[in-house]
Amino acid sequence: MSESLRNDGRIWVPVQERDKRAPNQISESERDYYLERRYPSYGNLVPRDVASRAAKEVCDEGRGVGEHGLGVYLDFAEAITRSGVAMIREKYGNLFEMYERITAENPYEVPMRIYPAMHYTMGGLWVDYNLMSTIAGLFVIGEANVSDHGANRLGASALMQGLADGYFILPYTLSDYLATAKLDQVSIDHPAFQQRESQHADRVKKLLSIKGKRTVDSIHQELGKLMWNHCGMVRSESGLQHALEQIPVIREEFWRNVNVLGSEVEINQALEKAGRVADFLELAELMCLDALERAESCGCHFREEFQTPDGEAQRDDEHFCYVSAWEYTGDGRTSVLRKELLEFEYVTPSQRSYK
Amino acid sequence: MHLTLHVWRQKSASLKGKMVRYAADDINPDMSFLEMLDVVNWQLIEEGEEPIAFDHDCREGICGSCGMMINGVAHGPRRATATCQLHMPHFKDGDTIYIEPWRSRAFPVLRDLIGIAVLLIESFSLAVLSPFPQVALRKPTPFW
Repeated sequence: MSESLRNDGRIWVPVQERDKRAPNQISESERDYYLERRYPSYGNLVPRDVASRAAKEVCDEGRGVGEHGLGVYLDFAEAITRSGVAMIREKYGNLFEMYERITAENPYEVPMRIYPAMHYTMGGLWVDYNLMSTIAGLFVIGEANVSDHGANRLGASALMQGLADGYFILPYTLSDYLATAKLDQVSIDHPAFQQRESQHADRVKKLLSIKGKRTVDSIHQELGKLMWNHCGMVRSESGLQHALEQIPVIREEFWRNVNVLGSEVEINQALEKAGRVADFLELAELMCLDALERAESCGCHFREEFQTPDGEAQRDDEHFCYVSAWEYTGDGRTSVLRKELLEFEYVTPSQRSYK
Repeated sequence: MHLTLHVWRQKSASLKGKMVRYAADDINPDMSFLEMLDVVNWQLIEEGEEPIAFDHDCREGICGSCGMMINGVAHGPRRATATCQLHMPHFKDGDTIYIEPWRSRAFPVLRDLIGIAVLLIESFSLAVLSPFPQVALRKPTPFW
C-alpha cells in the first residue's frame, strides 16, 4: 500500500531522537526526509526493500514515531497544498479510508504512520517450466511455487503470479499432462495412501494428547519474533546461527507443551493451526539455513556483513549467481542444496543504485 | 479497554447453540477486532474452554473469508469494512458487543461463528479485477 502512496506522500522522521511532539509542532528544519536525503534521484520512490531497511534504521536509531517508536511519517500535507484535497482524494481516497479504519486518525490532517511488515514468504516449491514439481502430476502454482514471484528476491506481485500461472500456464500444461500421462488405476487401499493416512492420524492424535500449557498462537508468535529479529529485513551470521539453535528448542517446547483442546471429529481451528505451526517450524529452519548459506546481500536478503561503504546491499555474483533449491531428504534430516546456475547472455547483473 | 461480549457458541451444525457472555479485559485499543477475539481465545484456552471459532485468512481486507454479525450488523458498524479491517478505536471502553454468525438458510452454522465455507477463488478473481479489493468482498459465493 505504501508503494502507491509514496508517489505523492513524503516520508520523514524527526531529526531529534525520541521527539514526542505532535508532527505539526515539528518545523521543517527539525524533520529528516531521509529517503530524499539518501536517494536524491529516486527519493520516496525507492523500491520496497530499500525503503524498509531505511525505515528500520531510523527507528533503530530511536527516531521512530508513535507510541512504540516503530513508525515513520508518510505525509501528504505538501501534496494537498500542491494539488488540493479533491485530487488527493480521487487518487488515494480508498487507501486513506483503509488507514482511517485501522487508526481512527484522519490522514488528510495528520501524517500517516507506517512501518514495514512481513507479509509473505519469497521462494516456494521447485517447479519446472510446466509448473510441475519433482513429484510427477503434482503441480504447484501461485505463491506456493518458485517461478517468477518466488525466484525474485525483490519480491514481485503475488497476484501476478497467481494470474499468470492460473490463466496462462496451467490450463495448457495440466491438461497436457492429464491427456498424455499413463495413470494407473489406484484406490485408497494402496499402501502409500494407507501409510500417509495413518501417519496423519498419528500426528493429529499426538497433537491432541500433549495437553500442555502453551497456546498454539504463543508458540507461533515466539517463532515469528525469532524470525523477525534474525531472518527478517537484516540478517547476520551470528543472528542466523542463534535462530538455528533456538528453533529446535521451540520445536521441542511445541511438541512437549502445546495445548490443543477439543477433538478431531468436529471443526477444530486450534488443531488446524497446530498442524501449520508444526510445518512453520520446519520451514523457518530451512529459511535460516538458506539465508546463512548465501554469504552476500541480494535484493531483500540483506546480510549485515555484506554491505557497500554507504550501507547498501553488496552482491557477490562471482560466488552466488545461482538459485538455491533445497532437496527434502526426509523428516529430521538436513536438506541438501542443489544449485541452479543463473546464466545471463544479454544482460549482466550489477549493483543497484538509487542515489 | 474492558468490554462485555455476548458470543454465539455452537459446537457443531447438529447441536443447539446459545449466546455466552465473556469479559474481554485489558484490550489494547490499537488492536483489530479479530485480535481482540484472539486475546479472548487465549484466556479461554487457559481456562480449559475451547476457543471461539471464526473464519479469517489474510486479515488484510483482501481474501474475503472473515465475516460475522457484530451488534446485529454484517461486519460491524463501519460501512464497506470487512470484519478484519474493523479496529477497536471504533469502540468505547465499557461497550457491550453482540457477536453472531451469519444466519441464513444458505449459510448454515458449522461451529460458533463459522458458516459454510465460501469459495475464495471467486472473491479472489473479483478482487483482482477491482483495484481495491474490499469492494469485491461483499458477496461471498457458496461453493456449489
